[in-house]
Amino acid sequence: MGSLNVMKHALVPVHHLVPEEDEEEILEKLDARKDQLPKILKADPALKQLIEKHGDIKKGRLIQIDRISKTAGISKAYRLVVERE
Amino acid sequence: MIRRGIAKRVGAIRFAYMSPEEIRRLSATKIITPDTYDDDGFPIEMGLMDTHLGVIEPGLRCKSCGGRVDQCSGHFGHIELAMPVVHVGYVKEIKKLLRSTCSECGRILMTDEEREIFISEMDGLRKLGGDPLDIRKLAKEIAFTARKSSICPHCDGQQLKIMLDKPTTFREENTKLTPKEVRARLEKIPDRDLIPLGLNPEFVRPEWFVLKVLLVPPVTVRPSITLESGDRSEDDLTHKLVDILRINHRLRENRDVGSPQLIVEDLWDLLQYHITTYIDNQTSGIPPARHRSGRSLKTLIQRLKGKDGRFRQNLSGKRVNFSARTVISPDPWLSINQVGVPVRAARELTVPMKVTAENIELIREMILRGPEPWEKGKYKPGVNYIIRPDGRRIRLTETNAETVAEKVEVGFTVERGLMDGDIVLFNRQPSLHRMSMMAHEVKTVPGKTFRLNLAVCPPYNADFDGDEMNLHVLQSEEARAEAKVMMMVQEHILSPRFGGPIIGAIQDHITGLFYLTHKNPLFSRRDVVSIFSNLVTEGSPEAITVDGERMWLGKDIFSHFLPEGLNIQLRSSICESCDTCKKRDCENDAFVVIEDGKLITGTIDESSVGAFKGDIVDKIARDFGTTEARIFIDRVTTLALGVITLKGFTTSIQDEDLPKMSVKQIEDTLLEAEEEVKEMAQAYRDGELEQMPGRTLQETLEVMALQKLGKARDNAGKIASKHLGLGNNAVKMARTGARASILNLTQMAGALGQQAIRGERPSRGYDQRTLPHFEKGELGAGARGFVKSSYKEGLNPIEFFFHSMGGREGLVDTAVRTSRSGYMQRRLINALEDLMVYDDASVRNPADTIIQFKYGEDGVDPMRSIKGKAIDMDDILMDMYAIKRERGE
Repeated sequence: MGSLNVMKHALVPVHHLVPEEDEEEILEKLDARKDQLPKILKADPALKQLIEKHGDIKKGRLIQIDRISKTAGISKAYRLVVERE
Repeated sequence: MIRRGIAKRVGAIRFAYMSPEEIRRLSATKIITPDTYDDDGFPIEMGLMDTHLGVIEPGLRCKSCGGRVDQCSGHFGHIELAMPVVHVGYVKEIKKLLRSTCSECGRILMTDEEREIFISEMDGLRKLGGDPLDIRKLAKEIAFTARKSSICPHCDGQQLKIMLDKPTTFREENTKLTPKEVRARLEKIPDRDLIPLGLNPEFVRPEWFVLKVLLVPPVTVRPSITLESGDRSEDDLTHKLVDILRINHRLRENRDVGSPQLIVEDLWDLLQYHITTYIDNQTSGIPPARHRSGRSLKTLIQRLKGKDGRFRQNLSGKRVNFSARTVISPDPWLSINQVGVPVRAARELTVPMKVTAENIELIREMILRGPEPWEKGKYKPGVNYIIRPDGRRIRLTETNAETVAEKVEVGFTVERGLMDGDIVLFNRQPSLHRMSMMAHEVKTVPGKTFRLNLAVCPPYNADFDGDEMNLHVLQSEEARAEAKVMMMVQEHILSPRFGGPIIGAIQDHITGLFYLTHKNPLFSRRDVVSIFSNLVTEGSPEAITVDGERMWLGKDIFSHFLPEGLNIQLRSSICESCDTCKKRDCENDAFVVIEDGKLITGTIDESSVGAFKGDIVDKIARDFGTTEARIFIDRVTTLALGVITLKGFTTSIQDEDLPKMSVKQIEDTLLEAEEEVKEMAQAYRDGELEQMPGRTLQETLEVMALQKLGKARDNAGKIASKHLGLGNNAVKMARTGARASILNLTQMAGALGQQAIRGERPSRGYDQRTLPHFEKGELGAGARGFVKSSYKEGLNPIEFFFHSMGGREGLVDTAVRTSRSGYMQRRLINALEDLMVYDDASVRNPADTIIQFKYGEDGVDPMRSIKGKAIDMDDILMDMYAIKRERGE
């Protein structure tokens, strides 16, 4: 069975890897520490696709998710990469 | 960083297990006798009611601390068990430990290197915030990996499979493990091996999970009650403890005299049963312990758990003082901010007043008037209690009024009855949203019911068919201020649910305003005086002169109550949605234009002032403030009632009368549709029906029939409404949105139409037919629940039956829905109750973890939004044009 690319599914929002140098600025804007962000599992199918693109993503990196939102057009959310729940 | 302001923060709470030594240390006395009282009714030493455990009878003193009933909160005791017994609450933990450690040497089933890796992982998790749930989960995973090896890496011992025979028996392959053996194994596990298994050896040892000593709660926890007959009735827990003591005694005796193993084991099992049910009497797999009457005992877990448990019943919710409950009834002369409180309630409910140098004279006068003063037959607030600075309360009576008044000094507190203008909270259950509890201003009224303005019925979802409501009197100045600013009814005119008004005109108000404004009728001086007779207002509406007489136009009267500078355009509810809207030149007078607070064209109805829909109310609340909106609602509803009282309004079954010709026409349409369905059914049987994509042949027929018959009813409705114009009172109500809908009228005048069960035509009941009155396999309209009659004509028995089927479904649905949505809401509230929106619009929990980056993703407060949107461009433009017009540009 060929591997399924979940990113192509209409219901999966766009995931980006946040460049390490941008992290500080984003955290400042959010007024939050890294451990206060929601988490994303390294085993998440969406993250697997990103790893294919960027190479290994270490835990502690940030992922940006752009969602189409009924109220705000596009809304940005951030996730902290963690290894296990 | 604004999100601080926590006065005190709990650093940590640790729940840990008690060791046998700790239990003994805590114990005030050892308990050995199952008897409670001696023949004289005194507690027996070392019995379950030993006075070392505290006292429950007045006069006695606690032997441990010497305190009396109200001073001593009780002390724990203990029972030494003859044989160890498993604690039901920890069987899962014990199973996990037994399986993941060696049965021979007690070491965890992994090499030391593996163990250290897991320990560091545990440590890492603890440091990273360490949610107990996460730790438990990791421990479970580690235990699972350990369990996989069947040979101990430390002593090469073979590991047998350990099973748990619910609820409390352990088995290794086919031999039973006694609690004693279980305990011995748990004792062998070294401290460091506990860490990867989720236990902290500093605070807990696993062998404690098998009880050797049982903690006995103080008597104050399980008080006995003395019945009128003089008999004592013991608490359920005491009963259970008596059982435990009895069996424990027998077990010890049998063990000591060396009875056969079988008897000892039986008694041991019985002790296990009693201790298990003492802790949890609803353990699955064992019958609950019962009272002699057959009622099952309420033991430890039952005291805490569920709706009637300690948490939900006594800690999350409590009974309150300073509250009242009675039937509600309507009062159109009250403001929406007010609530009518009957005199009897006003006398009983009190507000504390601090006596100061400024008000002491006033308070003296009040006290002199006594507890129940009247002035010319009118209610006056009285004083019920005087509280001295030392906390002593003096009840005020007619006789002691004078002496008490003299005694009052600055620093006293006086509890006076309710007064007009006091702020109280008013509530109707179910409290489904925040508008279910609002602050009102008190207005004392005669009678025995609470009164409220009709416009506040929608937020409370109240009617007057016997509804009762609760009232709470605020006791502190801060609470009153807070309630006034945030909870006053006028602050809730706009609902956060949909960003529109939830308070507005209803029913007769809307009909009244329709009469006032539709097609701009003329009112004589006499009429206007009558309409205005109950209104409080400044000035009078502009008059015009007709045939030398002063007359008033309806729209001018309405305009009199609009705030100056209001500009708005909207379509009335009566708008027929023509293809091209003629706006101001609408023949139906359905296009509302208000310029600078003057109603130029249009009919005022539900979409202007109604609850849920009223755009004018919405705009006034938004642009002119809540006070202005309250005044508008108060006045306009009273105005509408003035008009409708003047005009008179009624509806009857005659409103659904149709000319003979139309009745015939409707009949023909329905017959025709019926015939067509019959043909379709025939085509289906002959296999000539064309199948629709994605549907079976039968589904195709059902869909087509449903469509056809649906259309037939609509056509019948259309024919009916052709003869029912705006001159008809029933139609007036439906079209303006005052009450009922056009569909209701169609069903009364035309035909009821298809009855549906689960969205389909009824098909079950008898073999291949719905009722024995039809042929087997009949698929026609009538055989499948189509009702040709109207409510007015009346239904024939078969139709009536189908109608009842549909009605029952509706009833069941609502019953199921309410219970399910109630539970769903409970879970939601529990999950969300401590989330907060911070000033950067992020939603966070108390740990400051982000739940949502921006509230609602756009950061808009729905209550201050315009129908969910942050801004309404059209509205802003209209205001701009108005300014331009003023400037003459």
